[in-house]
Amino acid sequence: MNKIILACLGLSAGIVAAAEPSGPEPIQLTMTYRHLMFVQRTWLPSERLDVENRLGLDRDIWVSESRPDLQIFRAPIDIQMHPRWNILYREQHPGLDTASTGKTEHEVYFQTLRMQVRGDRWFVSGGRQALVWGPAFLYAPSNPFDPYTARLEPKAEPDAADYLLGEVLLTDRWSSSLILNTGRGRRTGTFSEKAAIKLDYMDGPLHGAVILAKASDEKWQAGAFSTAHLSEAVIGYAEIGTKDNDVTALLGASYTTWQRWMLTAEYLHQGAGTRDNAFFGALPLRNQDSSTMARFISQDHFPETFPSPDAPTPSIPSLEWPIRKNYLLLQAIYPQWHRTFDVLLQYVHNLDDHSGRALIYGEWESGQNLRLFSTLSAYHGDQMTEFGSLIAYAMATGLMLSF
Amino acid sequence: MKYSFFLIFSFALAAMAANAGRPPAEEILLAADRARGHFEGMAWTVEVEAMESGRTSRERLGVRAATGNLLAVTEEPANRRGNTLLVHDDKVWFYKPGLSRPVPVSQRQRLLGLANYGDLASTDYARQYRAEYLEDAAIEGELCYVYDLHAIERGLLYERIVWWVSQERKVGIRADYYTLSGKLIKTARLWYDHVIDIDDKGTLQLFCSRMEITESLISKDRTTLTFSAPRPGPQPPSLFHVNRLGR
Repeated sequence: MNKIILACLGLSAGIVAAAEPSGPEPIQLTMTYRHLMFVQRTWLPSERLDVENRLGLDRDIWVSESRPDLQIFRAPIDIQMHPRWNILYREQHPGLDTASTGKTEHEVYFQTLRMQVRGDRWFVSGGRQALVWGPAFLYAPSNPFDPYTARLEPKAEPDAADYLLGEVLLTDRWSSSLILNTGRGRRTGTFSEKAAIKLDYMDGPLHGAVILAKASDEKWQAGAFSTAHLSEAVIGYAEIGTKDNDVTALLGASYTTWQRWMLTAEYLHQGAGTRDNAFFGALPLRNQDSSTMARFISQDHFPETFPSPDAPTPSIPSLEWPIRKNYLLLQAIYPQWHRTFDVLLQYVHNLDDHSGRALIYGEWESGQNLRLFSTLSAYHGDQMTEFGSLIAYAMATGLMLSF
Repeated sequence: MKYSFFLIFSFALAAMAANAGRPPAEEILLAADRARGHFEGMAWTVEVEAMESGRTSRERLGVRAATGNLLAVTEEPANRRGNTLLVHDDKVWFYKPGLSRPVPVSQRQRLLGLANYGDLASTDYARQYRAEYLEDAAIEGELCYVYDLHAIERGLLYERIVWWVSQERKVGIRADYYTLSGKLIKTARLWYDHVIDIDDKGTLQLFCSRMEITESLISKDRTTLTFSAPRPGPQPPSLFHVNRLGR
């Protein structure tokens, strides 16, 4: 990634020198600082899948995360730096790995480190960033790089990766992008370098895009999404993605009342279904590593979870994990209740195994710099379902300071 | 039948007489739109102050606009700094730091207090609404043309607006906003203390300096938008593209 940034710096220096013979413009420096602190507790179901807590599910976690966002801009160069430093203290539920409990960890990383050179009708950028698009809350099947939207977990930031990106505004309606995924960044799971062409259309009530992507060791992937403002209150959207002859599609709509409720419904269908991904078995604020969970619940990858011959034999002899294929999301957002209180009610339902997660999230703005928030999630479903197998309840509360 | 024809003819004649001497509605509405920021390129700052149930909250936004498109970025308070609103062809996208990408939202969403997202955008009533004349009226001694505006396009925030435009200054000084069902949503009063040279050649234009929104004339809750003097200047088209938000 450093090579990419250095190359971009060299390119931009050349562009600046060529474009501004009359003298340099002042550099604009913008910095905001947010500090997130929260505690989270989970309760396990009485009849659970992971009886020995092999996943190492946390009972309590205390998180402190610094989120400074720095922007340096001097036309035509725009540099964004979003370093992150988080300190995490965890107490695990009783399980096999007692050494992991009562531990404090810390991590320093860049959520965003990218440089952009931009003109009136084009830009090129390189570096680390989260590249998420489309209107959906649940999942973005048209995104060949990362379909996880991070919109089901309030306060979570999407995993960023390393990209080279160029975009040209062809006309006032059409724009075209070329995207290269050059490194996995902070993403987990399998990774392969990938290139994609994205063609965007934006006119009147319609916004949409068509995406074609290719990795060296994979077949072509295609995707598309469209958003239509059907009236001043109703927004409809659809998204589709294909990979290995499998089609994943999402349909959604939102309606905003004059009393400011924003009501949303989404339906997601994955043609072949999957056993290899934990789609939405997420904690509200701190997601359990989905790849770990995927390995745990997948028979195909079961040996990887227990690579050591000394490891105890799994107590779950045969997992008939349900195929995750059809999902429904219902959501209501009420912003600025009494001007200071935002409310989110969300329910995600697995239509195949009839398990689900209900979430209530409230955020209270206290003064200019402080936001307090609290969330409660309740999971339902039996022992062999996606949402019912691991966690019964999760509750978190915390604050965000902004300067 | 004979009497019906006579009655219709009389009404038509009366309407023509009433409109006689009035300039075309489109001309007046266009002039009023210009005073609400319908220009080639412009930048200004908006201070929003909402008073509800005896409590006051404030927000400051930096706004850049060009021919109906608008980009507004919250500067204060720190809690909302960086929140960005894009209005493109009357369609709204919202982005805030930490959000993975911009989301399409309805113009009905509230900015603060009684101000909706759509209230920040410049107006284009001359193109988007069909105007019917109502009887002239005076507001604080200022004689106004009064128009009953009905939405021509789909997807506009307000289905119907009663719009008072000063006969002398050609600026809209009061608006009553209605839903499709005919319910009064809110009333706005506007002031124009800014005079700008829009082309550096001495072409002067009044520009809105304050907009005060109330739910009804008797309500004590009110939201005030105070506009700084605008700075005319070109704004690149790519600024108003949804793909640029958060990138």
